[in-house]
Amino acid sequence: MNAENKVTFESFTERVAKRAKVSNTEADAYLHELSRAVGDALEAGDEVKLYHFGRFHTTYVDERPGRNPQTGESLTIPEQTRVDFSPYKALLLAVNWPFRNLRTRMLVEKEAGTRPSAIGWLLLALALLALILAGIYAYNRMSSESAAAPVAVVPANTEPAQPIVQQAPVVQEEPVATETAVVAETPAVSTTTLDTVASTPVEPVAVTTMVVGSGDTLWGIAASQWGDSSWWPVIYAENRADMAARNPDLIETGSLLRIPVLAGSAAEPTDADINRKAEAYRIVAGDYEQSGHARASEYRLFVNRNDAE
Amino acid sequence: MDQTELIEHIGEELRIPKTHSQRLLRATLREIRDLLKNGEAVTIPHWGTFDTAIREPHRGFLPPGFLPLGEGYAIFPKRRVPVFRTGKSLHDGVYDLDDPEEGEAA
Repeated sequence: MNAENKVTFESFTERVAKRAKVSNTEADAYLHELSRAVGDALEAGDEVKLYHFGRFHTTYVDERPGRNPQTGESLTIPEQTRVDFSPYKALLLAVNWPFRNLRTRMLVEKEAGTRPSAIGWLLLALALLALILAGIYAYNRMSSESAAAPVAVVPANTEPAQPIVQQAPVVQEEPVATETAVVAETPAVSTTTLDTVASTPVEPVAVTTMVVGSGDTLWGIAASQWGDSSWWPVIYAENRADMAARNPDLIETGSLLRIPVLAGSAAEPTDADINRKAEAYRIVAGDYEQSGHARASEYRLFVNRNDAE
Repeated sequence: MDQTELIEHIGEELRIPKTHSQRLLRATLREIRDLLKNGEAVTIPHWGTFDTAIREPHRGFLPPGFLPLGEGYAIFPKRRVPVFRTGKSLHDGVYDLDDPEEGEAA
C-alpha cells in the first residue's frame, strides 16, 4: 500500500454520505457503528456475510514456532484468533478490472515440466554414448599425430620460427603497427609515451590472444593469466588501440584481446616488465582523467611510486 | 450474522429506520468496492484496511473436473485481488476471545 493511493477516512465518509444522500455526520456515525457491530459479532465468534462483498470470519491459529526477524532468536508465537476476509466473486471481479481480459492458459504436456518419457531417457543415453565414442576417437587421433610430429606441441611464446605456431609471428608485428599508428593519430601524447612506445618493439614481446567472454573483466583476465590482477592495465595498454571507447572499465564480449607475455613473471617481474606496467598505469590514469573518473589520481600515484622504485 | 441482521442491529443502535440503515450500508460497501476498483485503499477505524494487491502470473494445477478448461497444468494470469488487514483494536478484541473481561475492555 502506498501513501498516494490511500483515501483518508474523512474523504471516504464524504463519498459515502454523497452516495447515500445523507449528511457527513450521519455517515461518520454510521461507519463507526458498523465497524463496532462487525467487531462485536466477530468477538462473539460469529461471522459477518455481506452480499456481493465478502465474508468476515475468525480462524483459530494454534501456537507455533517462529523467529524474531530482528534478532533471529527462536520464540513461540502464541495461539490466537485471526480475522479473515474472504471476498466474494463480485468484489473479486470488480477489483480485477484492469486485468479482466487475461485468461488462464492450459499448458501442453511438454511445457508442464513433467518427467521425461522412457524414449527421452533412451535418446539421452544414446547421445551420451555417441559423445564418449567421439571423444575417444579424437583422443586416439591426436595422440598418434603428436607421436608423428612432436614439434607441434611447442609453446607459443618461445620462438616464432616454427611455421606451425600461427599466432606468434602475426601478432608480433601487430602491436608495433597499431601502437605507432596511435601515436601518429594523436600527437598530443607526451614524449615519454613516445619513447616507451618506441622502446617496446625492441624487446622480444610474444603475445597470446583470447576472446572476451560474457562477464570477463580485465582484472579477472589478468588474475587468471598471470596470477596477479594488478597487472590488468598492461592488457589494456596492449589493446587500447582497438578499443573505440577509451574506457578501461569497458571491454566488449566477443572481441579479441592480445595478452602480452611478460619477460619475467607477475611475482618476479624484470625491469622491463615494471617499466611496462608503469607505462600501462600512466595510460590508464590518462584515460581515467579524460573521462573524469575518480580513480585517476590513484593510478597516477601508483605510477609515481613505481618510478621512485 | 448476515446482512439483514446487521442492518437491523445498526438501525436499532442508531435509532434510524431500516431502509435508511440499508441505504447507508449499501453505499459503504459500494464505495469500498469502487475505491478498490481504482486501486485505492482506505482504513476504517476499529475495523481494518481495505487494500489491493497484485498477484503475478504463475503456474498451477487445475484439479480434475475443472470445466471448461479441464484438468492439468495451467498458467494463471496476473490479477489484482482485494486485501483486508485487520485493524489493531479489532484484532485485540477478537484475540482475547477466551478472556471475557479483556474482550469487553478492548
